[in-house]
Amino acid sequence: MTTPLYPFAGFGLGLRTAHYVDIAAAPVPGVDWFEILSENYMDAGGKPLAMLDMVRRDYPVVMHGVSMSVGTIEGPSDTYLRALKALADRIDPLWISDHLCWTGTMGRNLHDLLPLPYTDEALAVVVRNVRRVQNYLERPILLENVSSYLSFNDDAFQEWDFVREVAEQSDSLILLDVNNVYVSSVNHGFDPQTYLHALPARRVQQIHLAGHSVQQGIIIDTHDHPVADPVWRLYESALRRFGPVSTMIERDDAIPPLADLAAELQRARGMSDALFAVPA
Amino acid sequence: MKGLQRIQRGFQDYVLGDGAVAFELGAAIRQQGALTAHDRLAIYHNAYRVRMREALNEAYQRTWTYAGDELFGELAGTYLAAHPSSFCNLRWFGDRFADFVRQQLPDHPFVAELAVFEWALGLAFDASDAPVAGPAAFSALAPAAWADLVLSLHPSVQLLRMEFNSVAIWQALGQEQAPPAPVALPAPCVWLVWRKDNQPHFRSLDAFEADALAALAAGSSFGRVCELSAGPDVAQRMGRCLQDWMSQELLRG
Repeated sequence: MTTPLYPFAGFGLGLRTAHYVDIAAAPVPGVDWFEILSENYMDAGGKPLAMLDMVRRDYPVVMHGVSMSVGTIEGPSDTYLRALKALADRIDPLWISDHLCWTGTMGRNLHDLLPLPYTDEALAVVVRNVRRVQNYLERPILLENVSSYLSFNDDAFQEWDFVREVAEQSDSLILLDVNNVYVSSVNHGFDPQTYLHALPARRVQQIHLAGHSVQQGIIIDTHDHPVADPVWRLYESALRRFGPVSTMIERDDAIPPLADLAAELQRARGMSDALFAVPA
Repeated sequence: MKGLQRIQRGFQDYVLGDGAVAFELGAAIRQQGALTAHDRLAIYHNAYRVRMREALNEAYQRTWTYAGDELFGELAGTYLAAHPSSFCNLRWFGDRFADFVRQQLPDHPFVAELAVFEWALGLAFDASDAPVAGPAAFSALAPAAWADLVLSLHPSVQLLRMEFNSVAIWQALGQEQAPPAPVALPAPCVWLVWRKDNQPHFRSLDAFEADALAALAAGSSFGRVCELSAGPDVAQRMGRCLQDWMSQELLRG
């Protein structure tokens, strides 16, 4: 295990409008930083941006995007990257992340994190796009593994090998979504431990935890439930393998009070402390 | 076309389409477990529709309430087939929805007007920031310089020409009261929508102020705006408007 490029930042939550009032009122116990959805603040002003500036005065912030679409031949547009960089210049985030996926092609955005075929061609396309983005943003970015509900006959890599190769070849970092590893392990029938063991520890910069929904014959990554027990167990395995990793809980639907999420986050901190805290 | 592009175009066409799976796409999906390739693809097809409809429901909550689940759902379904998103933020997906409703419901134009109003309030809420011009911005201006002065409006400022009592309908829906019957106004009325203190505001304008703001929005100099203004006491009325625009944060600094 080597030290990741960005320092360990502790434990965070997603910044959601439902919690603005509570966050503005008093420091949130047990929350070291907030993760924002970058696109919500790009080319925007008014109250959302004012709230972000206020949060940023009191907390470090991580920028997490959903529309970079590094998995298409055309890659992200210059307009998109310009707006992303302008936001980064404004709020000086700890780091910037997006997803290892595609979201649309030929100018369209399907607003979903769509699965890539794990081929040599897709690998080359992603690596080229990520290098371009990193050059433009003047920093390494983190890419998150997504949940998927299908795979392609053309696949030449297992997902974990593809994730590793993208990170190594583009010299980027990994945002490991432990829930997504679990969801895909059930949907595709693989051992999630195999996934964790394939990843280079020094590139795992951040972990996402989230809840999912079990539907007929498949698990969907819905972010509308508390983190499930098998995901907590996998998180502990990830910590044992990767060491202390900055961790946040994502909740996008059925959003509970901030205090409930902070309590859930405390469980992550407790697991990490039990493994790594230096006795006083 | 290479393999990646072919798969992605096929996949995208499928998600945007009516649910029919082209042979080439079906053949590209691996058969695994109990679910068929078509079942797996359908997860993406369904999720797309749920997601896009939710975005419209959120942006047009009161139009949705007013039109009812069935009609609004029908409009949303047709809209998402006709206007796929090219935005990086799902928040903008409904950008052309009000226009679309106007075309779809030519006999009920007040529904589109309600949608226009609702969207304008959303735009005012998070329009780009810009410095605001207060009285200090003009205090040093020589009297002779006023004629050529071009005042620009804050990015949140919008002028809406309304032909119905759509704002009253919007207000009633917000208070969960039965909306008034839609009625055409005796004459069209211009409503100003803008942001002040980080909150969307709106008010109706008299013809004098509406014309003046429209001329400013079109880039006319202050002198030209005064020339275009008709009626008695133009200078005094314009002076009062100017003071109000400054105090209401309508002018860009």
